[in-house]
Amino acid sequence: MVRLGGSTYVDCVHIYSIVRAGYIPQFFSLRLPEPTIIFELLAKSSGKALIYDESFASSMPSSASVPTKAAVDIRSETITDVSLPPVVEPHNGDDTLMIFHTSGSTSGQPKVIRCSYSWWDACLRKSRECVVPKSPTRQDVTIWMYVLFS
Amino acid sequence: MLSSYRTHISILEQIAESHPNANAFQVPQHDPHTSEILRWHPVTYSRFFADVEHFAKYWTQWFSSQGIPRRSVVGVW
Repeated sequence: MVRLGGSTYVDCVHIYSIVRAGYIPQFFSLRLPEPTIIFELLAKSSGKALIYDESFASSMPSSASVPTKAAVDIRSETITDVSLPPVVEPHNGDDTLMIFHTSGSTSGQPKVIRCSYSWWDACLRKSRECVVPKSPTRQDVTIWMYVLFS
Repeated sequence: MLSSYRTHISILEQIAESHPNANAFQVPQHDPHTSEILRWHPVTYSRFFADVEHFAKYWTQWFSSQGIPRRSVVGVW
């Protein structure tokens, strides 16, 4: 699978937009070979839908346990009469912001990891220490996404 | 005073307001035949945040059409 042509920026926007819309994303590794395990893990979190990369379209079952939709580039699509919730910095750090998984390399089965607001805030504060620009007058450049070849 | 917890969204909103024209990304444009990078396209913080809001409205519209309320878990693969 070769991902080309700026699609990784669109992926990034999709990832940010799920949280911005007020939903809790549960991220699945691209290394998971087919959707059966995806739907099993999603059910453990009472997940209500699955958004997938277009390249996985042929792998999606014709009838899934939850609604599914491909994540495509909708930058030129007109969207009207939709309101978003306010951007908040909540006081309850125990609420879940996002969901990740372990690799499953030890037990053979990925485990669900609930990322709380307080944990993410701590990660942001720590990472800020690592990305202070070398010079205050210019931005440093880092590689944020990478192209995956197989 | 109660603590408040920042997120990558709240930080992005603040940066988009304080440094709207600073570049958040340089996105490569590839030659479709050779994969060679032809040029780089800058994306400012204000553009990035605007795209995030636009995509968020798209997903809000689709989730609502499926009867999926806010704070629901949705898989991303």
